[in-house]
Amino acid sequence: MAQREKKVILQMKNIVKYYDTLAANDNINLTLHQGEILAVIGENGAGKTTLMKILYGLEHPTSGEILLNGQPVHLKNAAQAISCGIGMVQQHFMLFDPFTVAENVVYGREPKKGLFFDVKAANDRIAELSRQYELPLNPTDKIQGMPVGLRQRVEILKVLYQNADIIIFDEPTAVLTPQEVHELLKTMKQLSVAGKSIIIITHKLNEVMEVADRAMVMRMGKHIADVNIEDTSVEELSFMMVGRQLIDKNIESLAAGEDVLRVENLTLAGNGLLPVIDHLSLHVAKGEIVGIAGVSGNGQSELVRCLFGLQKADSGTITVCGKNIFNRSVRNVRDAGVAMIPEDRYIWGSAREATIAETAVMGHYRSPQLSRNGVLYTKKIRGFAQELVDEFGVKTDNIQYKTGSLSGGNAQKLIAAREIRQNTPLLIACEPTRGVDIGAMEFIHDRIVEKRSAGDAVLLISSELTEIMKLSDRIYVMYDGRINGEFTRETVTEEQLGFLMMGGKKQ
Amino acid sequence: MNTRTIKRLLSPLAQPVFAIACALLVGAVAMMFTGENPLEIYAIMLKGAFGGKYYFLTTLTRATPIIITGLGAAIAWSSNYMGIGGEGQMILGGFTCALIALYMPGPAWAKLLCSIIGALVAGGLYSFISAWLLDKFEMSLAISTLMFNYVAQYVTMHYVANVFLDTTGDGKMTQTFMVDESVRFPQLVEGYSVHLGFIIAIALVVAVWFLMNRTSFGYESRMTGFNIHFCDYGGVSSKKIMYGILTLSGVICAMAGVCEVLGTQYRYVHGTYVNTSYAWIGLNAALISNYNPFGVLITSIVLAGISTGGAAIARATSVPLEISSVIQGCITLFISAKIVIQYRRGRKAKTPPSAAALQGGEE
Repeated sequence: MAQREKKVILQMKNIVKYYDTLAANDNINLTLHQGEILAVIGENGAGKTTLMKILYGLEHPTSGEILLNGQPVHLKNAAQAISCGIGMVQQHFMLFDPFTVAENVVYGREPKKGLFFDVKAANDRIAELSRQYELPLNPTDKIQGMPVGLRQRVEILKVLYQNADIIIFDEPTAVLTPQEVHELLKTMKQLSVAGKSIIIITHKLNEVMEVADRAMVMRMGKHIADVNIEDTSVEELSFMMVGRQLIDKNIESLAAGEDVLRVENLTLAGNGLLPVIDHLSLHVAKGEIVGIAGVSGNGQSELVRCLFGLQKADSGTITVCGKNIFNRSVRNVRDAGVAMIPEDRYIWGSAREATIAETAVMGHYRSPQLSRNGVLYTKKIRGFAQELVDEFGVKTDNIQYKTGSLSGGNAQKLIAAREIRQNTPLLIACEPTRGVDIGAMEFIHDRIVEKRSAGDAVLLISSELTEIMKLSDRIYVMYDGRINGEFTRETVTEEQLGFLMMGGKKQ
Repeated sequence: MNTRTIKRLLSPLAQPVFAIACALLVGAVAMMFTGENPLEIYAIMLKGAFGGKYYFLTTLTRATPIIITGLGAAIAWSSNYMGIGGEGQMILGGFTCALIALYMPGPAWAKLLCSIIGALVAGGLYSFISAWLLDKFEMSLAISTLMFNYVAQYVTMHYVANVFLDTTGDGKMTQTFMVDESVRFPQLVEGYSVHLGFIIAIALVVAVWFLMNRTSFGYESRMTGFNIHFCDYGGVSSKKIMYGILTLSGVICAMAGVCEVLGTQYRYVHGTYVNTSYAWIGLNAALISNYNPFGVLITSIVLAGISTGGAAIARATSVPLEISSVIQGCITLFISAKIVIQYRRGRKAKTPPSAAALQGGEE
């Protein structure tokens, strides 16, 4: 793909962005040619998102300039960026569920007939766009009930409808199944052939190798390199991203012991016609990490909430170490020997306004080391919190600062530390490394494996297939509230997992 | 200590100082309309509030019920239960206390003990009802507690006017008989109004601080205030915390009524707690000090000083007594700007997990 003779459509020159004293972007240069797919890669906190926010008008650079087709532009807000032909496919979809595809796409720029919304014109226009760019979608379908891949397609149409020439994709594959990823990459290539220029922010290097023409590597706010994909490899890119060689560790399975967690015929009716969890059975043994793979929204969250006592199930049995914990309170479940890293660190896992020490002792503070007769030992609590922070390398100056002052990855490490150090026979880990950088991810993974190797049981729920496949000794695939297949570490392949995650039947 | 630490330590003070300064400024403008020099007026006010033993001790007397209701409000509000029923609980506490002290037979110490306990139980139960309504019927705490203020005020008025009325006086006041001298709180300084209640208030400040910062219950309830999902997930029964904290809040506010009856008026007088707005000023003090008990103590004395100082300027100058209400009103206004901001932030953090949040990847 010789793109070099193509014309330069966008230049970002010497972009600097400071947050207080932290340089999120330190003299970054970015060049984008027409019809090119540029991957901006780097770990979390490398400054990719900040750079894209500047390009999309959401943040203003401390210094530096942006040239569109050679003309300098000052982007004050997203609306201005859109009118300059820059579009962003958001990571978190912003769609109205009860509305149709067409209604969502034209929202804010509706075709009018006199004073009224011209539904027919909207539908026609969307149908035309969807044909033109080979994005099959029915304009009159409702968003409700659509799989994630289709929702993303609606987001892409939205950007195309705004006549964007430059399309930014922010971590577009994070929520997709392998098949959907494949479709998306195909779409991106089609768009680039149609003359659109694409920037994709990601840290998944295989996808970069497959789809991008060029890659720009960032690390800790700095511009590390620009490389042509033809001239590089995954190994080289990852080395540039992390700044050191990553060792691919092989995790050996242990001989599994007796069951710690047993779930039988668990059913949760939910409020719709279909059960959210449908006669689900599973078990996790001592010395075993069991992964649950599945597209988000197939009942994993509800399963965890039922296991942990946060939601009442309708029928079934759940036992931990032989103790019945079906529909018990969270406190009973925790006392029975269960700890949980929750899927969302700010909704469940912490309180932003609480100090780091206060967040660190949730669930621990009742132990006889930290309190007696309801009176807390403040010094010991601080000491304990400091231990967790030191051991897990949570970056903070003082544990009396608010939890909200931690970066997302550090907050996640704090929560993981707290739950792993409950030293319970069973750990439920939900998206334990969501949004943390590669170094922290490896660290948390190591701790989880360590816990397993010490003879405890781990139930891992993750939408990251690589995480599931790396850590799990056994894997269940969850689809539509059911277990739709089971693999061991030795027998699993990504294709099969993806197939079963989409509701396919195991051969 | 780097500058960041100092900033963090001082930042809680910024808001109250700012609010009080702005309020004094607005007060100054209001005074200029009366043709007086605001600086002189404020000097008189300061003197009338804190200058000299008499004025200072009077201010402390006035601060007593404000501190106590402020503590009651602080524990509930810091746990994110925004009840405004302090007034009703105080009324019920004072009324119950007066009746038991007046009509229970037996030795003085038994009367004293029972009148206090009875009052606290009454206030606690009254607040418990609001908690129960919130739990079972999801009835807004603000509305139920506000309405209960009126219920308490008029039900007690009925009983005082028609059953327990003091008929020895001129009959203009709706009040009970005076309680026996043996059950009254002693004065701290002979001949001055400040009484044992002020010591009780200070003891409560320490007790509430200890409860909120050094006990599991306090930890749990503060966490409930920060993020209720976090507590549910941590194994804290947020419902129990709600009942506990609201009941306790009612108990504390009832104590303010006890202090008024046994320490200041020696009887229950209909309308006095409402006219003086003790509970509301207490709530103000809690908000200004960001629910810190020691902050409540100091702010309450300042606010009480504004009231007593206001009385002093009304006596000495042409500025009317209402100026202190203007200033207090303005403080509320400037402080409530903070609540709105906090409430918005809180809402963001507390939105229950939605499908989008569950699907989302990294931040």
